[in-house]
Amino acid sequence: MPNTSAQVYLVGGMPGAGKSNTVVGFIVDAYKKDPNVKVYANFHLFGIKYVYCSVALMLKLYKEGILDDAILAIDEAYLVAEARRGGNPLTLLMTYLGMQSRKMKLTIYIISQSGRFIDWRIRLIKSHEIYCQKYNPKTHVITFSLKEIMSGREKNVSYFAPQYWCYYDTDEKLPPPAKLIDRAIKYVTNEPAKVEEEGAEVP
Amino acid sequence: MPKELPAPQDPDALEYEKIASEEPPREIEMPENTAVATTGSKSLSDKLDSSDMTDMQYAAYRLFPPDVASQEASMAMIARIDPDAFLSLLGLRVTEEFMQADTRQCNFIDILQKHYSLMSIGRDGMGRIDLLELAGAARDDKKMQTMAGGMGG
Repeated sequence: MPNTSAQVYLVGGMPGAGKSNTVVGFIVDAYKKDPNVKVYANFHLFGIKYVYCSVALMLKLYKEGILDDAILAIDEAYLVAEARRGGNPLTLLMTYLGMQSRKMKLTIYIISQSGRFIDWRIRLIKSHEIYCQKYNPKTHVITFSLKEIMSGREKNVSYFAPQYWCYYDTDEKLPPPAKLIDRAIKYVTNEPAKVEEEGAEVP
Repeated sequence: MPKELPAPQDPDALEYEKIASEEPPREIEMPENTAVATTGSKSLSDKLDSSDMTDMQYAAYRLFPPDVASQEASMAMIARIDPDAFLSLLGLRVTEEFMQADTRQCNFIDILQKHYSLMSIGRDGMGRIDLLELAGAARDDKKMQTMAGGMGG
């Protein structure tokens, strides 16, 4: 997959259906074809040269204008472009990134179980839709449908998954934003402890 | 392993080189006893280039296989044939093909079976009905997927 194609792929499917495996397959094949291709990912890759791009680093690179002419892979995309937090600066910036992907010559893979978890503006600008239908544990074959939005053409593709297992870790966990966790903890623990000490009734 | 990278020229590439890293591939156990594991497999990109058919396309291919159906045969498979006219039409079609064929090589039973099968589908109208049912099922399936929160906007 050439890195100047500037496409936005939305990759969805049930847990374990092969979403990350499929995106890693695209990246590895592109790297084997052109070792000079630049790859940024928010999860760890092995066996290829890439930049492990936490969200903070991704935004920094975007701000400095370095994030271009590359492949960008965002796993668990709801962590950075949550549909219910459309006004959040992070979601807004990710949306702008997606909308300018053609000018920045970015091929972006956005992985999420469902498109509904992601801001609708990113769903709107997708050029391709990949839906991972199933992973067969006996044959180790992943089947997905690939739909080209502009032409409407759709095709089913099946491939042997284990050939890409050595390039990523399927068990890698991606933590949610730290501030969000802190705010959630404050939300559930704030106030009641103080009220109990004074003996007042809890409202 | 990738080839030696040439020295980058543009400033963005220099910056990328500073922050990029490469770790060795993970050691994993490849599954055994699969046909693909023994015979080798195509990469994802290679598979993309080959044409996997959608369910509808496959169903249409099986219902109206191109190697069997000439244009005439396709029409027979789709058209509704009146049951009273079935035997007469079958006789005509078989006779015509038999008379045009090289009798030293053709098999009469094969010719009869072929035309009987093609016209049976036409007589019951099942070819058209099957395809319409599949189209309906495919549409319902897609609708359900969208309602269940698929990738659609």
